[in-house]
Amino acid sequence: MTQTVIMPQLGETVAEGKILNWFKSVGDEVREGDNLFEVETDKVTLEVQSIIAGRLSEIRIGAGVVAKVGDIVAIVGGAAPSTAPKPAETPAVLRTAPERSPFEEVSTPVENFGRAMGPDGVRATPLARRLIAQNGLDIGKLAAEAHRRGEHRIDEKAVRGAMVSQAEIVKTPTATLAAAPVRRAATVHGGDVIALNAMRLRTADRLAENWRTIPHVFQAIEVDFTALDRVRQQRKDGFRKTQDFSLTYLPFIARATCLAIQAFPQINARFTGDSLILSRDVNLGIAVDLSHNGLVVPVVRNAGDLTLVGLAKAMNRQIDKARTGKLTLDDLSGGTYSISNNGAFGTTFTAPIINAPQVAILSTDAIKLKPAIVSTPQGDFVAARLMGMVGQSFDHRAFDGAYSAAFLSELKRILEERNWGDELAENS
Amino acid sequence: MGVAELTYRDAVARGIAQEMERDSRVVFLGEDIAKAGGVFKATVGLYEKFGPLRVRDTPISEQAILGAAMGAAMTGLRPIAEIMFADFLAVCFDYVANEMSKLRYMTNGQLACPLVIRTGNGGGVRFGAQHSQSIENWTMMIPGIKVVAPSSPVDVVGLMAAAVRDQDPVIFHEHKALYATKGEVPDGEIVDTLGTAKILRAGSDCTIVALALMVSRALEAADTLKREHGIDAEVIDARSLVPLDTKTILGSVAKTGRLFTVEENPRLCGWGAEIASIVADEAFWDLDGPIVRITTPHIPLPAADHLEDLALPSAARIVDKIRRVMNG
Repeated sequence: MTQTVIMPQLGETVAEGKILNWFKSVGDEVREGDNLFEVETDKVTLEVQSIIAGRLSEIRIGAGVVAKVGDIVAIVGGAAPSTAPKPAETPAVLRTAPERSPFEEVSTPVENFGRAMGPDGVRATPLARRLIAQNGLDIGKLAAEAHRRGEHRIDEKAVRGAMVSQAEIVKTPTATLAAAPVRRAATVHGGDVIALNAMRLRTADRLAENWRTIPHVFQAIEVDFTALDRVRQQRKDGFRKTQDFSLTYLPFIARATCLAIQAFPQINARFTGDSLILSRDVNLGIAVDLSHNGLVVPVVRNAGDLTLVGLAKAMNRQIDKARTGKLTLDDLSGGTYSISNNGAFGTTFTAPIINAPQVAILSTDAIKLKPAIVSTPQGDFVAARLMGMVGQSFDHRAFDGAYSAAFLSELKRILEERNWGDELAENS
Repeated sequence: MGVAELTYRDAVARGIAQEMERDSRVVFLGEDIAKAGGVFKATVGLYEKFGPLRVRDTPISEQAILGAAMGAAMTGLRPIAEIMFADFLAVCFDYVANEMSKLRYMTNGQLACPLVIRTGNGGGVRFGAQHSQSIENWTMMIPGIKVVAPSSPVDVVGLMAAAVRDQDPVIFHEHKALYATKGEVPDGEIVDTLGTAKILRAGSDCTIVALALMVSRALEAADTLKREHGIDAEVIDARSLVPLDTKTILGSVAKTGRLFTVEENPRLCGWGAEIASIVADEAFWDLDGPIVRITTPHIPLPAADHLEDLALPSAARIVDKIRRVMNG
């Protein structure tokens, strides 16, 4: 009996993935739970494990090739690689890597990059085999070249030689194979060169594309957080006790954003070129800086349905997952609106780049005491108030400045005037 | 702060003195270590400085030395015990293999054994088969014992301090052939970290891991390899076998793709075999060729000058082996 291995559904909005390398070779026994292949999407790199057992009889999509979700990438079972098998209906799915046993002091990599003996009696070193697999090279061709040179071994040098015309080859220590490769090249003209990993390069491409194609307009409004902060100060100790994390300003801003979107639904939409598709749900992306080593935007789903406390918990969970590297593709996809929060660094305002196909992105910055004019029936006074900027970059193709400004004004009103004490009380 | 040029043997005395001055619980005992200043003159001046209560000569009984040291450690002192020749650890091996190393475990942590066994290890000084062995591997195979083997005066001082301050027994292998070698040692207190290797020479073509006397030979070989054969070797001084700095070694192999060990011990079960095993396990797909161990053959070490020199790995042998393997 033969079974197919298909490119798994890596996340709701992911249509394809590039196979970085195969951990098994044709002919290898595959057990349930074995790592089969590593796949890279524009968001993350994941190891795909087998849910079936048998002999790997054919690899249809080799390393370095992009496959669509649902494509058959390999066949397990069956007689010979050449016989075209009739696929069964058991697709491979994602699983997290198994935990390491405490008795396993030394970890032997479970990956396999093929046999030492190549074609024509030429042997390939372990490093050469790994590089061949990871860079999608043809070992037959390399073997033939080695043969022509009168050599019987393919080593790293030979592989590099074959790659000269192509991009620089990836060489990551096996100990860190699961992570996206980061290469540090030699010093050039007195400065360190940091080669960028695939995720960073995709981010760079996407940001440049968004900046180039979307007519950005940035607006900011100054918000008085004094009343809100009074409630926050009263409740934060109790909150910390019951929830085990701190109640920051961010959940308030996120909650107010969800409420303001109810009145301004076009903010929470996708721009398709000839239409604006309003999203029923608010799936709120929260930009998280990974200690200056990258930026991810995990999504809190159905944020509009959550209370302030529920939202705080959901955001904390996603931020935590981001910082501990536990985000899955689903966590990173499907956002309808995003918030970028730079307050921790004391900035006054930030003009963020829109995360297409979303049409707007909110930025929040430092909230600090400032002299402000307070109007009262007795006259205008200067008072120390907790002030902060809330800004929005929006796609001018989707709507105009007045719409965005009205949204920001509504957001300001909610932040300043909502009875936050009630909302916290009913949930705490 | 100045820098002094010290011999390896002076560094031993300096390291012990630094710790005895710092902590009055540190005591020192062994054969002829007090008034005579040690048979290798590595402990000169300690008796005069710290007196007969803290620096004690013992009878010629290795079991008595380690038994007394262990008892002292169990009852609150931080003893340093000298076993004159590392070969003699075999005489008191029960204490090392069964008692000190297992005390914390057997008492469920109620007792600890914070002591240091200093011992003159290794060959190259014509002492013959029973006084020249390189026995780091005898000690590193015992769970519950830490093992260091410094190659330079500054490492002697720093690792001695780390060993004395450790909560568990540490075997401190001093190399007899290094006692007369010199190196710069900064003034002031020096404390190193157990379980850390040092990259002494950066290189891109292959990694050489060496220990103790073999470190200087590996460095000399690396210079020749670069100069005459264009092979750029990275040289790592392992320094500490237990705990072992696998991160530095694996990181280097990931960079160079090749690993050589230079070991003074006879070939079978030498410390390099363990490193080769770890690298084969954890960095197999970084290897661009076989791991090669350069060792003394599996023989009792001869006393005759030319035979001993022939048996121990020399810089010339290291160069020759690496050159042939790398170009083969």
